Amino acid sequence: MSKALKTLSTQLCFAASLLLTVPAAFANTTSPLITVGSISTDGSQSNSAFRLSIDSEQTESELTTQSDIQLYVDVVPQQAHRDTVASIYAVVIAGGQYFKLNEEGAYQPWDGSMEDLTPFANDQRLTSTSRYTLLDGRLSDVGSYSYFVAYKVQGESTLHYTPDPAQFSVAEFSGLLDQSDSVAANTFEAEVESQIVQAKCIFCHAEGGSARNSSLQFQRDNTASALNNFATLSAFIEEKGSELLLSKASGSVSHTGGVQLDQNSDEYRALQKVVDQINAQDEPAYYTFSGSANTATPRQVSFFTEVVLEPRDLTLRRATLLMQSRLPTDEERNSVDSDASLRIALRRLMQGPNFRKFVVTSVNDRLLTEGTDNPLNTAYNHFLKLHNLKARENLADTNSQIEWKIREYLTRASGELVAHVIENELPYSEILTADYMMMNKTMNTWMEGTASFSADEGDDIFKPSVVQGYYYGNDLELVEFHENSNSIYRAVGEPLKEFPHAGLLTDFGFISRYPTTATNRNRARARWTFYHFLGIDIEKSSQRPTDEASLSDRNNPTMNNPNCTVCHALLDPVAGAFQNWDESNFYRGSGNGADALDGFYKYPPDGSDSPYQEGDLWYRDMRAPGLFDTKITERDTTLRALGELIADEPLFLTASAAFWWSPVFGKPLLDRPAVETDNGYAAKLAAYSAQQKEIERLAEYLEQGMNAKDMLVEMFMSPWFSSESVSGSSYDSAHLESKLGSDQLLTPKQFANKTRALTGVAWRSGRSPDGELWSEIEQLSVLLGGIDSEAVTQRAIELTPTMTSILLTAATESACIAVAREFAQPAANRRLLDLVEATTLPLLEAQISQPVESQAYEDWKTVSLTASLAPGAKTVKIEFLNPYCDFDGQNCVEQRKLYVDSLSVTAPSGMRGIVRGNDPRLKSSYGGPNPDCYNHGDKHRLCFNGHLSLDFQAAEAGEYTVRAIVSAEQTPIRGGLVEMGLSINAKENLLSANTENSRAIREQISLLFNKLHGTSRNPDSEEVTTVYEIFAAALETEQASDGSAWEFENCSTWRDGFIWDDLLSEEEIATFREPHPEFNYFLTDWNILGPIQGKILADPFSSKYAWTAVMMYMLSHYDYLHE
Amino acid sequence: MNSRRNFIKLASLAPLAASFPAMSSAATPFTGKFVVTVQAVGAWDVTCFCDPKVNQRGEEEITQWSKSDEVQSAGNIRYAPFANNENFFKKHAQKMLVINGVDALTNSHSIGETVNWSGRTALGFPTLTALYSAINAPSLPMSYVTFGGFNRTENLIRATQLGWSVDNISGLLKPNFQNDRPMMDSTLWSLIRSVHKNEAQSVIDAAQITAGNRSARQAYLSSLSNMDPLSDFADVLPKDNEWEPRGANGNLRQQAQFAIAAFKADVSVTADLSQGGFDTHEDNDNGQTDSLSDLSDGIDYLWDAAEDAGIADRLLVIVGSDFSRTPYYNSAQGKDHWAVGSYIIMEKGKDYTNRVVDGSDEGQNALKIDPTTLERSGFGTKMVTSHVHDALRDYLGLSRSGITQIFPFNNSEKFTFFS
Repeated sequence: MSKALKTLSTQLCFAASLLLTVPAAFANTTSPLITVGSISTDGSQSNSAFRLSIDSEQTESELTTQSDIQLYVDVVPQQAHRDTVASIYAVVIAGGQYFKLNEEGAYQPWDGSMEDLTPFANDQRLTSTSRYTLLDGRLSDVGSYSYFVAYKVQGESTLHYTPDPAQFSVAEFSGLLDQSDSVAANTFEAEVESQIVQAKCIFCHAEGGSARNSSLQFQRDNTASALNNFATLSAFIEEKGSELLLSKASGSVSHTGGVQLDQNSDEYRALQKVVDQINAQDEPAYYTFSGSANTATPRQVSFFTEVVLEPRDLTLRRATLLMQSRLPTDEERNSVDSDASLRIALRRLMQGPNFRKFVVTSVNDRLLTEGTDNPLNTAYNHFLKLHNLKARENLADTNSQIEWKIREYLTRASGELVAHVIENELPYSEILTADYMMMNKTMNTWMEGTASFSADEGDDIFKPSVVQGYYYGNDLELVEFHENSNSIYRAVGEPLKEFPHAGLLTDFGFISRYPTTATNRNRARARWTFYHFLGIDIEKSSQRPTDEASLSDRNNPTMNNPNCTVCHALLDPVAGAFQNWDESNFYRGSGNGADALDGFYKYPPDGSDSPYQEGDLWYRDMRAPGLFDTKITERDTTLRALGELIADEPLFLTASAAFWWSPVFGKPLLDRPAVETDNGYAAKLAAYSAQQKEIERLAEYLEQGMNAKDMLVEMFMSPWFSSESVSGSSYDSAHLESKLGSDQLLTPKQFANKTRALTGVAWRSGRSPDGELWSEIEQLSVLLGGIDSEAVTQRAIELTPTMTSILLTAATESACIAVAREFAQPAANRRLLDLVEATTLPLLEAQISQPVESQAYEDWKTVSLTASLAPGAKTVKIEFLNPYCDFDGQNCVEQRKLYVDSLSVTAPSGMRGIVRGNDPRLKSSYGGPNPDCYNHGDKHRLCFNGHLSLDFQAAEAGEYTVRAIVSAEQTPIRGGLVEMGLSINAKENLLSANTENSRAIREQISLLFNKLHGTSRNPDSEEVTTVYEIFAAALETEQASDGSAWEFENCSTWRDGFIWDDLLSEEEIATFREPHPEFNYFLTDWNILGPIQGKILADPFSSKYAWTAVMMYMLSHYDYLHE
Repeated sequence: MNSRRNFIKLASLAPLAASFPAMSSAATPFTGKFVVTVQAVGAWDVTCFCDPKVNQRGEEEITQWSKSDEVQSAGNIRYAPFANNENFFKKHAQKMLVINGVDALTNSHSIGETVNWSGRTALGFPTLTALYSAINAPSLPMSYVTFGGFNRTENLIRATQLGWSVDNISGLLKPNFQNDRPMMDSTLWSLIRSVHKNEAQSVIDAAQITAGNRSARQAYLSSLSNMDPLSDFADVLPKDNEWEPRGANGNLRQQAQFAIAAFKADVSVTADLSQGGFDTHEDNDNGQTDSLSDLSDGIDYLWDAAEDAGIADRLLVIVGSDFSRTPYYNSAQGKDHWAVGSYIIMEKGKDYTNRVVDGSDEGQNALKIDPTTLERSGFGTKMVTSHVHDALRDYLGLSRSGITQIFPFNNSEKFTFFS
């Protein structure tokens, strides 16, 4: 695979440049490195001198990647060269490579030849001492640096240079990038943070404030707010300029907040001072020495400048597996030759059933709807048809599992809605405003939806549908009373005419996942609405009250106590928008559908007065429904109104990008670090800032047409998806904090899907007679790093020994099944092993297999094999391919036996050698005390198993004929004939064999790397050789086995519930499998299936065992468990 | 035998396999304490448990049980006559240090979990148990086991998350085994894994991969290096019908069962157990009755299992919650969030137990406590979670570690809970 590596342009992301602006906290010191006399290239006398020194805050022995360094040389030319014009040269050895300084101040590789040596300064008039700067900035790379300097007088060819280098080392910076010590930061904290930001700006420029969409977003007062707000201010100046900031503050340009600072005020002057100090900060240049001409230029290093992306075809592969659970087709692969064509290919992946499954899983990862207990309680009669069905089932003690099915489908409906919106390229805002929900056939039937389904459409198909069968209690009449909510009702009124669907906001799974109570009053629903759809984490946006007075305030503190209103002013209006959804998750579930208010509020049990008035839909002692400053006056479809308000917010765009971050990139978004003195704070902040920058960029793609595919395509194109390697370590700590990298640990489902798609194996999965798919992966989800949407809600992103152990169990259990599947099919139909057959053994030169149609001992038959051979040592084998013993515990009731009378080899010249069956040169397999073959009578050999082999020397090239005279005892009860193989093998070292077969095996292994790992390994590569040796070791182990160890025929095919469905026709399957008459599983007739299985698990050449070892290697490899 | 020759050749490809002494699973057996936290998720009502409060004349009702019952004692431990408390406290009081009146400084669930189990409100600190495992037994295969709840590790160690599916695990920890015999030749399988390790190490050493990719590969490498003891561990895990039944609010008994088995088998040293059901905004007393019963039952089972396993003398259990519940009932007979709560620390045969630090008043407000005498004092300090964590770090010998020192608490005083 050619590695067409793409480097990011430096301007792509410049998120964390602020961190680099660390002005000197104390004076520089000068460290002399070396003073050395010169020598010349032509051996002539040279009396010049060079002094190299370093200026830095640190001494020469303490330099780190964060040290500001000025390296300079003083050239003291010999007397004769003073006042001449010369060129000056500098060469550095870094990372074992040579670089030369060029006229632009950049370092570029030098090949070591004089022809390639170019000066960094020309036309320099030499004085008694001339100073030149060789470095002015920071060194990105850890390591030692050796500098040589030279000059050449104009018109001469002799170079005068330093014979010994000036040397210094740079260590990794391990401390805290403490920008809080900067002059600007100190001024900000002392004069701006409390006096201006917290006193004025914070009322609008903060989460939930009226200027929440401005790029200037401050943190409310907390332990880290001064530092974080300084960073925010600096970023704003970096992006928009200081003039705009000062103009807005003083009101000289349009500022929604009006004049905040008079230009003659102390506050304005303080702000001006900070701005000036920020602008005065120099950003250091960074030098990297990577050996590439493209990267040797001194430049600013940001989060992504040293990052190298994976090749496009790898991005396509990973995205295809993620979204489509398959590998890209050849057509797809061939279509991608540019970023533009990759974008097109990625977009085409965003459709179809597998894409919808990807979306459903992704949405659940965020909304956790699968963790809800009961999204639609059928004990209530609002969905009349469903309630009556369930009640009748309960009364009749029957169970159609309808409640569980509806529950499962409802927890999936949110994901189906998002998938529907994305796949059909509807405005993404429709996820919050859709006036329908997604239903499958069962839901549509029992919830009485408006969608239409054909007879052949199953419950995996969801369509937009509107509830038509929802009743208020007053519109129902009791028909039969039964206890335990099993009464039967009939409709006497009309169902709700317009069910107030509002996308995810009214999704049954979402509503019930965050239930409300009489005191919670929908605040949990509001909190998660803010979090998922506006990106505001209210719990973290402001510190909670800590003083007892606030906590014990009983005077409606959420309305009146500033300690509480700081959050509740934001939260409670959104809670109000959920006013029509009660604590049982129903729309106005009270008898006549009047409201959804709790009874404790309306009718206090202690008889106290309630502010409730008839007709109220919301609590009078809470804020009115709305979002931010906008009230919601709509009464019935409040959530749709809320959805529309949210969709109009720019924060919805960034929240949407954040929503998809983990599903696409496989790593969580970072929280903003809160405490500046924390270990690694600077790295965390840099990583967080880079992520936020990317979110803003992605949001812009969504904003253009509100088409989520536009954003998702860019996510897959993002370096956050495809960062593979780095050329420097400047941002290593920040990269680690964000786990930046292209490798994603497969989720349990992705692992199962990949295994099914690539190997065919459905590990511990299958289908029940009723068509329901089952998989142990569901139960194992958390153990494999997945979530249960209840207690465990965050996916593991790295392996633990436990996860690895289970995945290796899956690998070893799947390996033999995968091999069995492959060899059971013609090569053209195989997924993986299409270059080899079971007889493709490294040393095999010719082979024939055939039944021995002998009826008894001494009913001799001749089996012959003719092959063209090269000269060399050979081995002929007589192989017993289908040994059988019907063992009753003591003896074989019947047993196949193979008798050998003789074996002869005829050379091209006609010379013929023959050995009798009992000749000791004819060696039995296992050869020990219990061989497979025994002498029988005076001349013959009797085999129960294994093989007999004979070594011979092929002295000449040409056609050889091998003949075996054999007879057999058959097994009439079992049926079939003794199968025998006759083969000729090269007698060579298995590992170093270079036969046609060994080359085919290597080619096959190379192909496996490509298909299973997405890596390109040449057949002669070290990696393929290693796996070939695994193959060879397994082959020899099995061939030398005494039969007591695990054999390929012991492979547990039952671990794969689809193996027979995939390999056999329905008619064949019907001969041995039928549904259990009572329970939902299959009955199997092993008398019929046994021989079928025996055939595909037969491994007479031990090659399937060997390929199993290879597959174990492949499926347990890091590259298989990650994509 | 030829195959041996091939193994030898393969083995020669695997010299790095022996170069990870820190990751070796053959480390010296751990002989220290086993630390378990039991997280009552959702905020327990300590007035019905370990910080019993009775109704005060002229004040709002704080507990309904106190209308007809009195505070009970077991040893020096006072408890509420509620749920299954009597059996629990009578049996375990001698092991208990109850610290009442600890201010969580929040009434938000997520921050409450953070502050109670990491010691501070801001994210960025690991749990005590993660810290303990990282310092004492980083190479055990499941050194730090969690079942949900708050389990941040701050990259010190990788937590083994188990959740509800703990009873599915035993049949899955023996790769390459089928019916108790190896599928692939054991030596060859071992060499395949060595090849994996060497390849992973080579890629890591190349230093050109991104930090995230490097970290993921290191996780794979250390997993391969440390997983072997899990095979034997699988043999001692309960079989299908030997698992304890699940409760209404969780599977605390199963969690305890697993943790003790893991400690006993030397594959783990810490575990965070958790149980939900405590967020009783409505019908507080019934909800807390169910949840506290399950909680005390699970802890009781934990100790019994530890005794059976012979490791009770090495067990330290910390029980806590997000915070507590209001010292009054709301209109739905529920109780809402209240920042002042409790910890119970349990250990067998120690002088510091059978003791209560009485840090809350009759209205469940935090009181000042003298850090040395642990008595109420006007000159004392109100206890916060970092005081408890700081003392636990000292007691468990973690404070001396450089790892601990990068997560410092800035308390101006130290409470001598364990002397």
